[in-house]
Amino acid sequence: MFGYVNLDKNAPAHLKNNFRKHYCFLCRALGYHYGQFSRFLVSFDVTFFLMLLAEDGFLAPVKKISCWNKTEELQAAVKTDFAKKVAAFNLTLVAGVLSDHIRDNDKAYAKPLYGALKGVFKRIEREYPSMWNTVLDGYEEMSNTENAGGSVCDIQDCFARLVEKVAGETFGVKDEGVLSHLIFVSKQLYFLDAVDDLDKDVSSGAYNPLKGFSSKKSLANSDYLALSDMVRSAKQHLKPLPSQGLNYATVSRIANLGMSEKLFTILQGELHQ
Amino acid sequence: MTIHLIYKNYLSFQKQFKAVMKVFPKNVPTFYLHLDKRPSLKAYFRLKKRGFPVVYCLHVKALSNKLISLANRNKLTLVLLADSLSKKDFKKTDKLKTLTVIKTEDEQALEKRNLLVKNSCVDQPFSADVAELCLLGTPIYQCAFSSCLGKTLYVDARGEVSFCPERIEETKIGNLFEETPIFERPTFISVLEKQIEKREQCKKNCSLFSACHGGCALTDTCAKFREEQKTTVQKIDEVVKEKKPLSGESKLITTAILRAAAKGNLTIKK
Repeated sequence: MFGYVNLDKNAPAHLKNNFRKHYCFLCRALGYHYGQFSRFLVSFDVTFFLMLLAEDGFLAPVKKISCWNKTEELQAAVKTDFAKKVAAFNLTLVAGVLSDHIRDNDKAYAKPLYGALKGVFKRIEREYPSMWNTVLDGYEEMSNTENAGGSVCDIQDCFARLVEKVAGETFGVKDEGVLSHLIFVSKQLYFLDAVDDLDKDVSSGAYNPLKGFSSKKSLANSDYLALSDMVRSAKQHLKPLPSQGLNYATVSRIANLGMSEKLFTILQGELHQ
Repeated sequence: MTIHLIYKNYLSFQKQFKAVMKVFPKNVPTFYLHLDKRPSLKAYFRLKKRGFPVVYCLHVKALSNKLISLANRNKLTLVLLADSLSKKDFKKTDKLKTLTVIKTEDEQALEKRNLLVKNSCVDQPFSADVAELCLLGTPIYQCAFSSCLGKTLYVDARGEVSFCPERIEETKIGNLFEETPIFERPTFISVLEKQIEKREQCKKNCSLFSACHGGCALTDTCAKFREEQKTTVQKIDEVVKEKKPLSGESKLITTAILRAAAKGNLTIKK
């Protein structure tokens, strides 16, 4: 279970169920296409990606998904090419993150985990070479920007470009509303990660783009007005989604409320550490 | 409309529920169930099964581990009566994952709560309108500053209906089991008229209407509210402008700043 994307606490039950359904589906797809071990790497963030790209009726025939549910409708959905592609994207992002950690030499588990998944990664590289290269090159670009002392906005943009490129090239997304939501959430994800790791990075001396933004080693002294402006300007680029189906309603709720609530929770947590 | 059913046991709940459904046959209200005895969830599950929005508020004087796990498992709202809670009980509130409201009339108990309770609690001065507070969970919320009159009904175990459990005599409408429909009773109409009149006046004349929605017609706390609002806004502006460390500020100010920043709504008002 990884990732920051989630619905807000007060979200209606049918949206929460829809999100969970897609999350469980992604987990199943990972297991079916890339082995049971890869199910441990299922991510909330890719679930958002899946919901945004899947057609509204994609999982409609499946009433309930649990670890023991093996209905025909579910099996059919899991076996589709789309499911395989999304599962591959989930694992490619994992590969990107792990290779980033290996480059920085900051996480002890990165190397052995990459080794354990090497076979799966090679298969994905063979099956989806353009996606694989886009993601890994994107992570390298982010790493270079970080090393060059780039601002948080520059690195956010790198990550958003990566996701946008994959959505366009591999999944054929052209709609502006869908792309704007992808870009917004991708930017927020990088930002949330930076906020979450701030205290850890400051004490360990590792790179964090928010170090300059927050003085005296803690978020307690930060420029909250600047932070608010950053969120507001990112939100301004959100364009309306093409229809009002269940998936888009969930996605829109996540972008408008879920991400803010997550940021609030992280800020509060950092403050009281 | 929200309805608070204060019931003694499942039998009394069934009676109350039947009577309420006669009055509100079509509009499904949100039910707040209040029970101050041992936790029996029969009524809660019955309403949930029928698809009613329901909040189960358990009024407790002591916290046991069994109760904590029951509340966490079923996502119950616990209404803790602070004046009768021991220090040990306060410490146990950290284990609660569900929404908790602490009700107290004693200022000292309130201070004690602030020191001991870290998470899970709504950081509020506590009024009688506890369940409404659960619903909103927003800062600065006392019934004097709210406009709940006419939106909420309290039904006790004998079927007595009132607008406010704090001012039962002033707001008593009558008994649910009587024959005259409650909406036609003079008390109901006069209280509502009073509230509407006050609300309309406030709407025309006051810039803070969006914050308190007219307040309670039974109390006059406008001046206090204005003062509190003004000082809070000033304080927030000061902290944000001067980039003061948030760690020294009160929870109310910190939460307000962080929430606004996360939503991208933080601005300096003056």
